[in-house]
Amino acid sequence: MSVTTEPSGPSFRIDMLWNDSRYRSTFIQIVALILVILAVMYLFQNVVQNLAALGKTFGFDFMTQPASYDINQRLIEYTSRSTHSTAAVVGILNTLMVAVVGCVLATLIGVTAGVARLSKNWIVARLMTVYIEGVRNIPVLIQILLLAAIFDELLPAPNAFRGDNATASMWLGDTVAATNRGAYFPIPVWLDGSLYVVLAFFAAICGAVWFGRRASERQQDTGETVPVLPIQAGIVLGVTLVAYFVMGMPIGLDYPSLQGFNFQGGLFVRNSYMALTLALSIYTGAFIAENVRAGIQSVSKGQTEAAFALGLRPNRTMSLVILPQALRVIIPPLISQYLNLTKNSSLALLVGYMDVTGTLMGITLNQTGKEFETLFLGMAFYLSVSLSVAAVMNLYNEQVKLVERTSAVGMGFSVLDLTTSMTGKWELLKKGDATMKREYGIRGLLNFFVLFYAVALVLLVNYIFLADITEARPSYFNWSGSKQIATLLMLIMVFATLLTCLFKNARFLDLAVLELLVFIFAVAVGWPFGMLIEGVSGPLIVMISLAARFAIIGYTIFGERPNLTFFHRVRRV
Amino acid sequence: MSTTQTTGLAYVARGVIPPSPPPASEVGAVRWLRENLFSGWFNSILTVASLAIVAMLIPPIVSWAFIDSVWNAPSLAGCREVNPHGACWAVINERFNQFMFGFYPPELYWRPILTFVLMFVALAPVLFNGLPRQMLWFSLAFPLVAYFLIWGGLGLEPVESRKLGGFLLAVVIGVAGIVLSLPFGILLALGRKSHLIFLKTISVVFIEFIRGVPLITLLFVANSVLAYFFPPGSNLDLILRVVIMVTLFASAYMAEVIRGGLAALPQGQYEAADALGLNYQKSMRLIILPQALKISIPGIVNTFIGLFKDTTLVVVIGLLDPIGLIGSIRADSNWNGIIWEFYVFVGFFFFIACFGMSRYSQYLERKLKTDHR
Repeated sequence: MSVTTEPSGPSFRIDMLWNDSRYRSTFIQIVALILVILAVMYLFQNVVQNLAALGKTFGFDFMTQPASYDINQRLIEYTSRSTHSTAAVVGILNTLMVAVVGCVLATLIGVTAGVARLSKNWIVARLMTVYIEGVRNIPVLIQILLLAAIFDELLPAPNAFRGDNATASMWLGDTVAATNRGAYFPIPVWLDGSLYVVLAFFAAICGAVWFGRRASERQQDTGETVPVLPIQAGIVLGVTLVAYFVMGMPIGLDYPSLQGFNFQGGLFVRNSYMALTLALSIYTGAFIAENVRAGIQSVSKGQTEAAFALGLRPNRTMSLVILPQALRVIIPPLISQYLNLTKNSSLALLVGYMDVTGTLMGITLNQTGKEFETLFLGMAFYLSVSLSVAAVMNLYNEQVKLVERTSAVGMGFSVLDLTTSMTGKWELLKKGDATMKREYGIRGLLNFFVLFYAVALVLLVNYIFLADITEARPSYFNWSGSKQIATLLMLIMVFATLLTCLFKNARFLDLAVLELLVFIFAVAVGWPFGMLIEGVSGPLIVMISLAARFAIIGYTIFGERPNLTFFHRVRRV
Repeated sequence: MSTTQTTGLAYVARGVIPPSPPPASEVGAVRWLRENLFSGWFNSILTVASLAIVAMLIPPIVSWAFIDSVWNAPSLAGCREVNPHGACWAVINERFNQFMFGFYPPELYWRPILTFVLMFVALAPVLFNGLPRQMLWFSLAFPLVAYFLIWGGLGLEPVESRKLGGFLLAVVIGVAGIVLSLPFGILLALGRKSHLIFLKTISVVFIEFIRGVPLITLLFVANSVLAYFFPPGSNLDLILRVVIMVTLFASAYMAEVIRGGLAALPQGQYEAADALGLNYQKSMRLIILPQALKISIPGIVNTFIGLFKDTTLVVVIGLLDPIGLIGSIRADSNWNGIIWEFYVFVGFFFFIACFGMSRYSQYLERKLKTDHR
């Protein structure tokens, strides 16, 4: 019988640090840590010396000084007397406007081109190949400049529309004027009573959604089908039109018209914006088209054949069998294309569109000479957009990934774990909606959750960035430290909680609790909640918010479990 | 009845009837047209619309670019005299060298050209296995050789950085970024897959930070902030600073590509390396990385294509890449007013380069895939 003994090796030797696997990893990490600290210290020291040599200081107080430059495209009130921080917000909003519109357009272009490239129609497939390969292999900057040049050079000047023998004419029955400065579109005018029409429109949409869910519930129960889409369209159109005529047609259109040397009225969109958005959409659309094609091709042919064998028609096969499986492949690269588009929108600088790169990292940087601060803030903006979109994408991936027989739920710390032993309900809660009831209609409590956090977010953002900054209400950068921290925490938490209740996630309760704690912290440091909504006293807002938060948390724990998802349909149990 | 009687019957066929030809609509061009262009009303509409678009776009473009174009003229006015409706390629003709080399001294053009040729010699042993392995030493030495050839030194006449321009600048920044980012990318990829929590955190933070911000902001950093990080008095050249930032940028993307390669290796390879008793360094160097890098080559080429296209962004910090040169050529009163020719030429050049490389990477992908079946 052999006896294994613990090798009575020599005691610790110095070379065991990098030869013995017990010590090696710790040793390497400590060495790396020391190296990193040394490198950071070295760089930091250089920066301090260089800044001192130039007589520069580090600080964000310049953000509250007047910007004294004009921005010709803005979504919020801005004059040259506004502060640098307002200018930065104008830039951020401009960036987001390009990004959002660009993403929608790029998706439309990309999906169309991707499907068309798979078309059996020879010439359409070839044309799409030419478009995709051509656009993907040319730098987007050239495309933006080319499109801007086309708009500037080939479109007529406003005075070409003038006179009896005008060389240019407006499009779409004299409603849209495309000039070399920009395009003028008709803009709706809201008269008295138009609010009711809008309300009726939204109510009609809610009704249509409710009808759709009732119809699908009925189909699940009885198998009877009704033509859902025409009825929904009828509900929305009918209700809105009736309200429109009952209120005496309160919504009109303001058409652009030529007055003097230029057009007046209507909505003026500059060419720089259109060229940038369109070029980015065309460029990103080509990449999305490839993703869409790859996604559709990734679904094996057997799936189509099986669907046909079951008697599904081609379009039902597409919507019920192919697309749900293809989307799993398409969505992640699609999101990263959206991020690419957002990052590429920083090229706006080169066509004279003032996005955040042009205001904060452009003119503000040059005027104040605060390179570190402005670049830091600008990068922080892009980074927070990228990271929050990446977070959403991770949630989505978690949701759509193929679930094996054992579902791994909630690794790491969770406040739910603290009370797991008390009741089995917690476990079920964490497991997501496996046993949850499907919510039909708009009575899902989730809608209230989403609404609550969305309103909180909008109010906060409006207060911090957009509301008038006066003597009585200094801008964010002049607040006291605790108030700044409380504000930042509240923003992050409200945003994170909103995202988690939009997507199915086991951690919703954790975030809601954390958010509540942050809220209480904000109340404790005397955050001015009275400023959030004009005319409503602070204590009332605090009371209502607290009650709502407690209600949400209480309902999540004790109530009928809400189906914490908007995007995921579950089998009815 | 006997068989002899049946043979005499009139209604029994005596021979095989020859097959009749298929209907005219099912053969040749007609069938192809029916199947591929007119298989239903929707497809027919699409076909007609596409043909209309092609017919509308192609003739004016062809006549502008080829039939009516002017290739030799001293100025834009000269072009317009010969043919007012065509493209004025004379400007490209005259400024071709500038587009290629920027303001590089003309008598030294042989140096960048030689560097470019040597680049393919250096690339060859990486891409083709049949070549002698000793050539890899030249590949390793190539960056140094290229540096001295382009900037001078070691007895060659020195050339200032600001004279570099045009496609030479784009290629220099792109190639330098990719080559220098390879080692960083490998380290970052290994760090991200590592179990050492500190190294992993550093790698993840670096990669996600770089991938989260636009290249243009990193170029701003190169332009205005990067110099502060160096000891006082060190005067770094702008192109060098740009290459540093582009390298950091590319290494984050490179790390993700190589991480993909590492993840694509079967787990058995890692286990086999452990079973052989190899330590981490040896298993990586001898077993894992050679295979992972081989799988990653198409991804690396794609990263290079992306980076090569992105080099056009250096125009925002005032470098004279092909797009920057457009402005400076337009400032010449002879060529003031030319617009389309520049974009078409620069775009076409990039298209040829990028399309060629992407085709090559697709070919590599197919080739490497069959190896791993």
